Amino acid sequence: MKPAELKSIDTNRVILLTLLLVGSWAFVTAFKFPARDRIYPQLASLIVVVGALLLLAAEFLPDYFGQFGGATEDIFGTEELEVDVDEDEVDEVKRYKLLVSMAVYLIAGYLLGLLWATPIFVSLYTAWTKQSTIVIVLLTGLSFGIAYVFMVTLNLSIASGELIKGIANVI
Amino acid sequence: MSFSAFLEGVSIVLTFETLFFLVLGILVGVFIGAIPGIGPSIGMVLLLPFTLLVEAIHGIIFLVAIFNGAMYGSSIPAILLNTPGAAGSAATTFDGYPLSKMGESLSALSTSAVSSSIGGLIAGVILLVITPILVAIVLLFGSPEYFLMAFLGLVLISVVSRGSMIKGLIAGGIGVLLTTIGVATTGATRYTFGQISLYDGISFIAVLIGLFAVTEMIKLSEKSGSISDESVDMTGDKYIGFREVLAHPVLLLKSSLIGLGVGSVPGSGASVSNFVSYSEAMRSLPSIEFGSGVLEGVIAPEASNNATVAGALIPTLSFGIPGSGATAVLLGGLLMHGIRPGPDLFGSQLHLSYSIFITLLIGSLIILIIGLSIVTKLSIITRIDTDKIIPIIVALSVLGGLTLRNNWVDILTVVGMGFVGYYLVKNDYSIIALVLGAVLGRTVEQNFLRSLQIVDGGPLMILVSSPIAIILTAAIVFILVTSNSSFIMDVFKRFTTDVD
Repeated sequence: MKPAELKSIDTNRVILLTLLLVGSWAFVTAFKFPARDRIYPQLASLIVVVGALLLLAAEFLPDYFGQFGGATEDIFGTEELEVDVDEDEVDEVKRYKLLVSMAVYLIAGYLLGLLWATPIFVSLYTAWTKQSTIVIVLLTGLSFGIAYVFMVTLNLSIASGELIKGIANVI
Repeated sequence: MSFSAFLEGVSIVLTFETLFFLVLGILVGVFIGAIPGIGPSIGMVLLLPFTLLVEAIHGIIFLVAIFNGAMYGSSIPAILLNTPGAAGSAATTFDGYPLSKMGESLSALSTSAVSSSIGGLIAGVILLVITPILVAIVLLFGSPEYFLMAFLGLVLISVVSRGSMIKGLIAGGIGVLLTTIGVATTGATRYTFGQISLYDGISFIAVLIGLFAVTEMIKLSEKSGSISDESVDMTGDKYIGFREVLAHPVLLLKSSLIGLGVGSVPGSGASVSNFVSYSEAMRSLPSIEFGSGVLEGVIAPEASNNATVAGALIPTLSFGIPGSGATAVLLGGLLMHGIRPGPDLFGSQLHLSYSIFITLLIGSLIILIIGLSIVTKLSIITRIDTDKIIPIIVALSVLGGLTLRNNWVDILTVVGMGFVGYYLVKNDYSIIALVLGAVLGRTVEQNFLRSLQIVDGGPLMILVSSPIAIILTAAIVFILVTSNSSFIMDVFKRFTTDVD
């Protein structure tokens, strides 16, 4: 089995196990709700649990049950024509940079306020992905402008975060 | 009633404000559609919170115009760079790009503009004509029928979307489960962990922003940045589009009807209709060498993908079942403005539906004007580096999430669903099914509970509570069975072989 296949199988299995756990928890927790409020979440969680179990068990079942989790029929008969546009090479490092930058964005946003965190995020990501200095400056300025417009026109309180508020209280 | 509503719809559209939002929406849509990796859903979902600042009808028309404009805009990189701006123009690359390489890029682009325009016009006119029939059908629906229709939509999406049907149903179940968080109808709290911030539940708009914008940006970050490093030669005959398109009336009409029909099937959308119309064109014109750079290979997919906009509106406005990702966002916009698809839009507010359909017609003409007037300048859009767009769109998504209710639950929902959506997409789960579950969840529950009160004999009797309910139930069973027909036949054959 190729490493790429192993990776995708593992991720899928992790997803299915997570769904099984979350779905089971949701189903059991729903028994605490009043009868009228219980039916619907239990129906939804049952679909998730049964579906996850079927897919997890698919590889252990005989062939003709195993294919139950496979792709559905090509209803419109166009699969031959369609090309998978996602066949390009995947740059995992770039994805990692975006995810880390987003985490910094959220933390900075909570502590300092999104008005300041937004340009920090944009400058971090663009610098990390080696954009030119002029691009970094322009995009950072643009992002600050966007955050400012949001604050003014939509009345968002994003100029300060918990850290700034905490310092202000102490002072 | 229909005719007076139609006249009222016309009077709404023919105002300066409405036309302003229509033209602006088309321009924004063309721009967004022309950037590969962005697509109409992302543009619509990011601008959705801003529609709260304007009147509901203007906001909805703005969103529909973006959808319409993006369908045409996505053909620009498809023709110039062999990279569709959205899945709805993937088939356009087969002949559009070879035409561009032969020095006929202007011919291809103008043909695309004329086809998109006329395809949208044909579908819009048909939609206006069948509206009285839709009104009659919608008025027959009650709570049990709406509940079953939503379930049918979910099953259809799971089947039509690529990948396993079970994964589609799981994704739909996840979407529905998300909507159960918060205060229920009896006042009891569900899955809130005692947090007051969760009492209002999870915003389905935040879910949409996360799934459509953030997930796509994570996917886009994995790819190389710029699509085009050098300028593209814009040569060819700008006016050949009219001659060629009008010389193929049957192809044009057929492609438009395909787009209208396929678009009305939940979960299919332009990503399917453009391939169906292209393959039908190949079948019906065997003497033409499709794939070598023929204008017929641009006419078919482009006429169908703009006609799909009209088709996708049918289930969305009639029954609240989105026909595609973009109409899921549109549905979110309607609900956000307090407009209920179905009873409202085909009842007391029929004039709103008519105004939306009329804007499709006017929008198609605007696409023609914009397409032909700026066609020589369109290549510049394709030179935008997506690495520069990603952080801006992520920032817009986070800020947009905050605008919904001014709380961090929505921001965490946007980012969280972005991550979840990314891993689900990578493992072939249907995002549209999840979106459908998230958008419809609350409405379906209300219809379900109302049905339990109306129908005697328990929940199962909902399935057979009326002739329409029986038809819908039969349709669900039929689709579930036939979508796995090869599996069922295999089991049957093995069983009979074993018995023998």
